[in-house]
Order: sequence, then structure tokens, then C-alpha cells
Amino acid sequence: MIATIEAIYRQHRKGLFTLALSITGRSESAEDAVHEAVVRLCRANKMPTGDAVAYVFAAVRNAAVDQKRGLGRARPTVSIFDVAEPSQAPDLNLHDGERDKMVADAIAELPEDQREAVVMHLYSGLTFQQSAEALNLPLQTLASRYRRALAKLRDQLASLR
Amino acid sequence: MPMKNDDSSLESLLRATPLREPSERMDVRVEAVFANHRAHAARRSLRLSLDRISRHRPAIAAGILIAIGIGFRLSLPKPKPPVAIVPETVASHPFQIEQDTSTLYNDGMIAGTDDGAYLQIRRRTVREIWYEDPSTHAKLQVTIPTEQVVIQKVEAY
Repeated sequence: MIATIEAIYRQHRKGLFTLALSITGRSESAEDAVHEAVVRLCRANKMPTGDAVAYVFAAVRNAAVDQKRGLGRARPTVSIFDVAEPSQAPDLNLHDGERDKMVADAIAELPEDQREAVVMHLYSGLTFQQSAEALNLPLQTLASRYRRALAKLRDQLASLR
Repeated sequence: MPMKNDDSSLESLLRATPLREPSERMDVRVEAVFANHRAHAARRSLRLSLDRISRHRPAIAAGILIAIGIGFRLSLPKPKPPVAIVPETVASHPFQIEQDTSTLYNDGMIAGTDDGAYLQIRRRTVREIWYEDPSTHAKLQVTIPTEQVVIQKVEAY
């Protein structure tokens, strides 16, 4: 079991961190959440009945929700994107910086449940089935949340396409 | 699935946005958890093994003694297999004696017709054959029983 968790962590470390960061809005808290989830999984030391990847993501999500609860009403400080302000990176293509910022803002404006669906599928690399399992949702519910999120993003980012 | 052709370009655009990387500190902390857990599991496994050993100490001692005994036995020089002594024989033709012993049984009239009756006679013969090898005087006896049935018409007077 531990070997499975280790393998999943090594393969999805960035995705796990992205999911936690999308919930907590703070890098340190997101890393704490990933660490806490791994501790809990090792302590439980039991094989999941379903998809092991979804199981680990669900554990990280739960730990991130706990971290967020601990933060109280503190506002998120960072987004999941590594978006440099054009003025802070003069050598960066101005257009790329603006585009990335628009994408980050558009995703930040999504309702939480839709943002979660987008983050899990697009940025954490989970399949719809795994995402649904990790969120404990029916597949169709997750799919419709994702569709609605894409529709909103399409409208907001129309100028970029 | 919510995937449409039109969505592919939008998804590509969204995926192109770079994500924030976790720090190395997170990896160090998580790897430490795994290492700690592996060490704990190894200690637990060793403890269980020692418990098992102490629980089955007499059986293990007996096993060790048997193993030492087997090792000692295997280290001894192996005894040579006995050499079979086969007497030399000369091929010779056996001679044989045959004896037939016959007994007749008259079963009497078994059928009757207008022109006569039929008499059944049985002859039981036992042929005994003795073979003997003149050089070794080995003997072999074979018995072959046979029965011959004769039905004879008896003319009416």
C-alpha cells in the first residue's frame, strides 16, 4: 500500500499540490495539506476499494479543506498559476503574460465547484471518472460542472481565441 | 463526456498557462514520511519475527538439530552399492516330457428322433508338460486342459 502511495505521489506531486493550492490559496498551507494527507494515508495503511489515484487525491482534498478551515477568513494570497506580471518580467513576451493573467483571473472567478472540476481534470491530470470518484460525485454531475465551467471560460476568454 | 471539438482549443489554451511548482521542502517532508513509515514497518516485521521465533523455540531447536544431523549424515562417505554376482550360465536346450491323461464321460442319450438317438460322449484331457534345463536343472511345468465333445448317432435296432 505504501509503495502505491509513493508511486502516486511521485507521479502526481504537482497535481496534488495544485489541487491543494486551489483550495487553500496559500502555498505553505497547500504543502502542509499534501504532507498531512500522506501521513494520514500511511497511518491508515489500507488499500482503497476504488481507484488508488482518486483515493490519494480525495485525501489531499480533505486535508486541504481542513487547512482552509484553519485559516479562517484569511484571503487567498496566490493562485495556482505561476503568472508573472509583465512589468516584473521585462524579457517575457508581453502577450503571453497578459494571456496567462486573463486565464488565471477567469478561472479564479469560477464558482468553487466548477473550478474544482476544471483543476482536477485540466491541471491535476485526472480522468473524469477519477475526478468524480475523488469528489464523491456522480460522473454526470462532474461532467455538467465541467461543461458549465468551460462555457463561462469560453465567453470570458473569447478575445484570446 | 463533456468533450467537444470546439472545447479542445479552449482546453489547450487553459493548459498552456504555467502552474506554480511545489517547493522542494514539500518533497523532503513527504519523502521523510515514507522513509519513516518504511523503517517503522521494518521494525514491526522484525519484532513479529522475533515473537514468532520465541513462541516456537522448541520446534526451531528441534529443526536445527535435525538439520545438523542431516548435514552430518550427508558429509559421511557414501557406502558403495553391492556388486551383484551373477553365475555364468551356458545356453542349452531344455528337454521336455509330455503326458496326456484322458477321461471319457458318457452323458447318455441327449436327443431322440424317428430314425435313431444321439449319444453324447465327452473326453477330458489334461496335457502336462515338464521342461527341464539339463545344465541348471531348472524345471517348469505346464498344464493344458482340453475337452472334446462327440455326439454319435445310435442306430435303432
